[in-house]
Amino acid sequence: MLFSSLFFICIFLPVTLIIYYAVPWKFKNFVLLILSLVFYAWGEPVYVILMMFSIVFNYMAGIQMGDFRKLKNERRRKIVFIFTVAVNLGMLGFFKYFDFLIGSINGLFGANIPLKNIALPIGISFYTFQILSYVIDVYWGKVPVQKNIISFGAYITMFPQLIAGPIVRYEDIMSQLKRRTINIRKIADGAAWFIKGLSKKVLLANNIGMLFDSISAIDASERAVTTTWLMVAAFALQIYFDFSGYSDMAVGLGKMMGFEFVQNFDHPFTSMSAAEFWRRWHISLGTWFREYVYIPLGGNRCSALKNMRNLMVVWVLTGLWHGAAWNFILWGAFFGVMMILEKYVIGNFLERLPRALRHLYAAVVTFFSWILFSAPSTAEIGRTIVSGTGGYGNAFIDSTTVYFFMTNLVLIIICILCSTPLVSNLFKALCRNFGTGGEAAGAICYCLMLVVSMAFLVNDTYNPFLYFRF
Amino acid sequence: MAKKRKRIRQPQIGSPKMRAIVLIFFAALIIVADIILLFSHSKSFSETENRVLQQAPELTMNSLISGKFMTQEEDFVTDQFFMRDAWISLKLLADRLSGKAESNNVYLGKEGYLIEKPVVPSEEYLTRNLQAINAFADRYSEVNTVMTLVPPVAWVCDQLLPDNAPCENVDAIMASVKSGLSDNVDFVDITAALKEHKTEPLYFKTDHHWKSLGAKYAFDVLASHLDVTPVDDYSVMTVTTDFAGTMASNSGDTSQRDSIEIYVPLTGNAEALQGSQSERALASDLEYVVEYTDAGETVKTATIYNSAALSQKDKYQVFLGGNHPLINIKTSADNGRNLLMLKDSYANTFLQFLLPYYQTITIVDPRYYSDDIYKLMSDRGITDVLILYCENYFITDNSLFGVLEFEV
Repeated sequence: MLFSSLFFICIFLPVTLIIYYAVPWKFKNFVLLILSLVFYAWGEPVYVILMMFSIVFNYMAGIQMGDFRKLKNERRRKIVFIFTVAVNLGMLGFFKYFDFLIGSINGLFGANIPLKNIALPIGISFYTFQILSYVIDVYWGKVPVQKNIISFGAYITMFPQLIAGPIVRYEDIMSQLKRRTINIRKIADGAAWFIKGLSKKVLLANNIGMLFDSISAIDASERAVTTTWLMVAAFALQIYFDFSGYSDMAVGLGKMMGFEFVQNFDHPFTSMSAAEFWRRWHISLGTWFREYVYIPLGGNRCSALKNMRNLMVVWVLTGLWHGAAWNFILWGAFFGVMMILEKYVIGNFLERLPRALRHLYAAVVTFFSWILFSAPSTAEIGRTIVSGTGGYGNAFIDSTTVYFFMTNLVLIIICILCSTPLVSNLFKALCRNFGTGGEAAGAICYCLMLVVSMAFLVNDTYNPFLYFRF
Repeated sequence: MAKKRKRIRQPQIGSPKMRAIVLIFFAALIIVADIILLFSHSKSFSETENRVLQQAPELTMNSLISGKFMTQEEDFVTDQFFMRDAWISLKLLADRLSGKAESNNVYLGKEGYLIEKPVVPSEEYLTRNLQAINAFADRYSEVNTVMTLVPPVAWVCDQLLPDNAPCENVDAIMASVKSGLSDNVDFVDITAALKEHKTEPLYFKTDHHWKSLGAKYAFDVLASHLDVTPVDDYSVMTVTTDFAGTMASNSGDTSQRDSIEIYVPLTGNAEALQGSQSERALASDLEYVVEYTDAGETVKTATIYNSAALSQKDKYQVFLGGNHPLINIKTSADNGRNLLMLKDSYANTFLQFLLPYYQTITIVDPRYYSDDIYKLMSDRGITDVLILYCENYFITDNSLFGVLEFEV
């Protein structure tokens, strides 16, 4: 079930909130767990069993590690830990990467091992990482063992962030699982966050996504240079608003249920380097890899060579996390290389540049990364680059470019403005410095955003049946 | 855990009063939507979309496990959302305000024209169709085989397109079709002739078909190739002014209406001109019998027009009552000329211009026809063949070659 659907907004959400608010505190986690399982089963009626297995299995692993700690049996504790991590990664690996592995082996060695065509359980990448944050922190002794399986289950399945993040680390939320506040002010704030995220997803991401789809339907050799650029820019905006929109909706839903989640995006397109981009983009994923991969590998407190290795490992894995395909690995590796370059080669030079040039540098780097990320295949990466540099003898600009640009100009401008802090700062000022009139105007803005988003959602099933076609 | 953790908190949006208003509005909207969903009868059919709307699904173990129940439930909520058509209009308004010039693959053109985006040819089907046509024409080299493709409105009336809107190069496609055909096929490119009249209403604003006027200009060009002398005297009648066709449905823009005109050739046979004005127009002074064969059943009428269609949504069906696998027309002309027409729905408008010149007209729509075309050729003593499609459909058609490659 998507947050951006009328069924979620008009049925699932109100029913969930009514039950959740009605029951006394000691049952709220239970209600959250059950409703989250319903939410998950709604889209994955079969894989919900896998999810329940994960909850029970990791809950017991936590208990076991706790018991062995008390018994001071470090060896056993380590065995349980390694086994648990292996099972979690094994499930992720099987469901997400098995076919990719077979496909790559077939491609490399000309083998012909049949693919399994495994359907990916929704959100498995997100919830596996959440589970691992718990298992690893329990092993390290950073967090106490969760003895209550309902609280533990509620943490794993919590529907606001189940499908598309943010990746909430157990450490960040364990106290909220015990104690959190719900009040009408927080609910109202949550509603506003939800509307903000919904509009980002439905009005901006989906529409700019249509521009990307229309352009990428044209063969790379027939696109004008600038059309190809427009395509990549459209993709960058689409993925940012899609992803950060989901995160905002998650934050809003969390607030409505009394939770506070970590910030996941912080205006990444205003960065001045690749490193800064990753401090602002999908922050919860970056934090996870830093805490559980980069630092354990030695982080930067080791030789430069080892540090470079660590950076490459982290970024290749980050790439791979995004999907089982070579272009994601290339995308991750590209950022790994950029991190190393910025740290060891061009960092000092960059810092002496004027701000405008540093922004430009970061824009070019991220722009190139989206070429890797958006490509449906590795071959298409090359074709996009050739097309974007006029290598096909294609025109620099043609009427198709003008058409796509002009008919999406308003949308592009809105998207660019909204990807800077400018709009939210202006909005804050409007609501806080212009008295009741300003507040009313702000409220009307949000109500309009909601209404227009709903109109786009109603249009989702708009599907004229043209039996009389031709 | 001595280290005090930073408290996580996302900033609040706007101001308290602003958030309160938004929450009340949000809640009210959901309550209204849910009350209407719960207590009103669900609509079964959407006129605009011309499709059955999703009803509340039945809950069964199977539908639950397969996920079908969930999908249908989600569609149900969306399909039955209150004031559905108004929400869809709002979406289209938002699109227009943001400068979008298309909606669901329909260009929102100038002067209210809703223009279908031309498609890219399917090389595979196109080659196969042309080969099948060549084989057919070579086999019947004594038969006069004429072929034409009606260019799309986006190409003919390019002044109506949104500025800079991309359009497939139809001239190039026409040229490649022509060069792919054997000498036994007389391919007539009517694009230039239609372009001469591009400011006239050749096509519907709200439908993907052409109007009778467009078909008439095409006929004027085709007449010499078909070896007929046009009567050039027509009784023109507007049969409706309230037609909103497929492009209106597709785009969601239902603000425009089209008129449908019929052109009835007058041959000077006054005897038949009896009865009321409308009967006279519909029956003309031509006498003919039309036999529709659908699924083995044959219906006979005395007109190619179907006035019942004027009270339904798809008023284009006033021509021949829509598409049929096989139609036989016998006229009072006694000239020994028997025409076979292979066609799509663009020919339905065109047929009215052909009536005076053939003793019989056999119309085959290959998309629905699966019988022996060769038997038909000999049984009917076919002397002339006309292949008439719209270009935008023909280049992806995958049924014509099947009929022409028929083997017993």
